Amino acid sequence: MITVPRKLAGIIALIIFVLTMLGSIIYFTNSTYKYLAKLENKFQQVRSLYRNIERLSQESKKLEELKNMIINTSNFIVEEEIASEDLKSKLSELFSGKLVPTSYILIKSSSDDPIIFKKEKVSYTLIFKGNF
Amino acid sequence: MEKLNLSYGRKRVFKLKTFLILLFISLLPAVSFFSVSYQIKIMKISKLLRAYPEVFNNLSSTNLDLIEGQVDNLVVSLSDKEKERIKSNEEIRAYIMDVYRDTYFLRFFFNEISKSSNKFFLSGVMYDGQRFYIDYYEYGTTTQLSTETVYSELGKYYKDLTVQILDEKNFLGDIKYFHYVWEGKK
Repeated sequence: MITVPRKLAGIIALIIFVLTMLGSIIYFTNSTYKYLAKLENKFQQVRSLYRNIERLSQESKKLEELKNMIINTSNFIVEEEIASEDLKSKLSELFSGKLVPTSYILIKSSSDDPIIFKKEKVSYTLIFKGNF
Repeated sequence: MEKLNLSYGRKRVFKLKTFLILLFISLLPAVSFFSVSYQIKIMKISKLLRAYPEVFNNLSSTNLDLIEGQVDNLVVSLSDKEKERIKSNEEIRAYIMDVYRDTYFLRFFFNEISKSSNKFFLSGVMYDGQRFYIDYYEYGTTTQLSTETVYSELGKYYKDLTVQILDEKNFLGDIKYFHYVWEGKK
């Protein structure tokens, strides 16, 4: 009959108990606790990417709309002679809050020299060309 | 009668079977702990998947060993998508900014003169799609449209910007005229 001395058996059992408990604790720390923290971090990263992409898509939609609006207003030519008092209102009308792709602008006054207001009537040649 | 101590000097031993049972018992707490921590892991992952539907909806398998790899792939593909969107938005923004610069110098000029109490006479404006040129006279005791403002505002959008005063003369009494030219490139 095989027998093991009690003292030795006790020591072996204690060592096995301590080592396996240590192993379990290390497993819990690395494979469960740290792993879950890392996984949650990655999940948060996915969520933040999703939200960012959603925000960028909304932004892209608005930018596309604006771009299409600009493209639709690009075919134009304005060529006229106007009085100086109408210049500002004409330009305001041309710009009026919208963006117009313009390839050529010429505003030329009928006088090149400094004028005396009220005494001189000045007219302007106005040429605006859009992108074709 | 004399008492006999028959166990005196006898070694205390365990039978092999008893020893193996003792070993098994010493293993039990660790096995239980291991098992509990694995269960905790499964529970927590399930909880996480419920809390993050955007991850769950993109998983092809909920096998615990495969989840991390799948999430890594998802992060990479979403990052690529994000970069693509950023690039495309930047391209559109650059186009819009380019169009904005077609007329910004003129808008800025009219906006600035409308804030001034001096009088202005615009002599000419020229823009060829790349370069702009504004020629004007300002009438007043001092110039109110400061060169620094023009440089700091138009400098944000145009290169090779120059603001030159070509002439400064007395006009009527103490009123002077200042002849300016602005030039810049898109």
